[in-house]
Amino acid sequence: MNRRCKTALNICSALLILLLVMHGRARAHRINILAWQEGDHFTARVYWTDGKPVAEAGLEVTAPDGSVVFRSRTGKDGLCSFRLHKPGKYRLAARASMGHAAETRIDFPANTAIPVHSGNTGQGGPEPLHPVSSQVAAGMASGPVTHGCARHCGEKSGCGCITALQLKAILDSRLRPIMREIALTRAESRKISPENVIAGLGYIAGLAGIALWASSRKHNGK
Amino acid sequence: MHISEGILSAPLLAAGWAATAGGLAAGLKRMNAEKIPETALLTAAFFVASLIHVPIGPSNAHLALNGLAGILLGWSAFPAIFTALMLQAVLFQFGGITTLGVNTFNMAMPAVAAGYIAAPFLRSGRKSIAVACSGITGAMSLLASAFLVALTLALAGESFSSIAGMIFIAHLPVAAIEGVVTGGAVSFILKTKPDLLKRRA
Repeated sequence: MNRRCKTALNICSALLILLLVMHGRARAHRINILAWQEGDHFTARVYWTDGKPVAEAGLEVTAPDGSVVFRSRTGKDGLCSFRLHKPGKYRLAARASMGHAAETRIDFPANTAIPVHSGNTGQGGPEPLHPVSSQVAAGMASGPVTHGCARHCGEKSGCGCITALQLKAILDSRLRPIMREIALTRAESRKISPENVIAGLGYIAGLAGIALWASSRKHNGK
Repeated sequence: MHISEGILSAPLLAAGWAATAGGLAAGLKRMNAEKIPETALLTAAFFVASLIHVPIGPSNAHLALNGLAGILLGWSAFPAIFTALMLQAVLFQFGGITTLGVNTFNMAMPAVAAGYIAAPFLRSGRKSIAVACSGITGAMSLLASAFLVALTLALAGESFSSIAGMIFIAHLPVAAIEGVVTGGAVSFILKTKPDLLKRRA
């Protein structure tokens, strides 16, 4: 290796070491999207790979038939909630500034859909998540849980029985933090790992080696 | 400045690939055995530099070092940046494979231009002028890349004025850092091995 190559090697090695040291506070330049279900509501979270929320990201939900059923923007926390009314597999796309985009698929199974009242067009808006009333929560704690209240106790007021719908609301409420935790864990797992950075540098070294080998073969006239 | 999949139209993607193919051909043609280690090291620098991000408002910007690559490599900046962007797309899902052509062109073309602009100043023999011009061209090449990204997004249907304004504002502090890094690197090379700059491809 001549002096020119050695100098280039020294300069770039110093630069690389500096950049690798700085990698500890690196931010990834990619947006991700996660969505989790809470009953008939979905919450989408748009975030940079380091976990920071993407504010004001455009969000679009496309139904299986290709129609856009929901369009909104995330808040400062990168979150956006919406309600779906028809079961199916939806496409959820997020778009942030400067050409950043991400998408995911959400499955809304038929058995979790809540019947829609007449007059609902299926165009959901960003709605707050259902709070579970203290009465419902108290009902779960104080009485038996059944799916046929009328059959068991004749719809007596204050009997402590709850309906299937109320049970579902309670479960959604209890599962909400778990679903959020799973989503955050997934977000954590999508961060850039030092292993990937080293792998990339390894690929570059390998490609350079191949190029040098090809060059030497050409030089030797083989 | 990695444009993601699903944003650009097919003609734009094809145009990006065509332009990048031309740049790659020119770069590979000028790359000799001596240039390969230098190109590989600047590829690695570009690959890692893009991970250093500066949060600005609702978005964030990252270092690129494309100006430095252009000053040191000339047309060989095309294969260097192409390789780095491809690895970023595969390993980190930055940008995308279909947008690789456009993203490479947006980053590499200003780099090559920076190399040509800085070349006469580097040969002038006056170190202060050479360092200052390298720093300025390093910063300008990043802003030129930002301009090309804004132009690409405008061609994809977004409002050019709003996108360009946002991208320029987002990249001004990063451009300043790029200028300092590029000027510093050139200053060091001028001290240790000035031939490296005079004999670039």
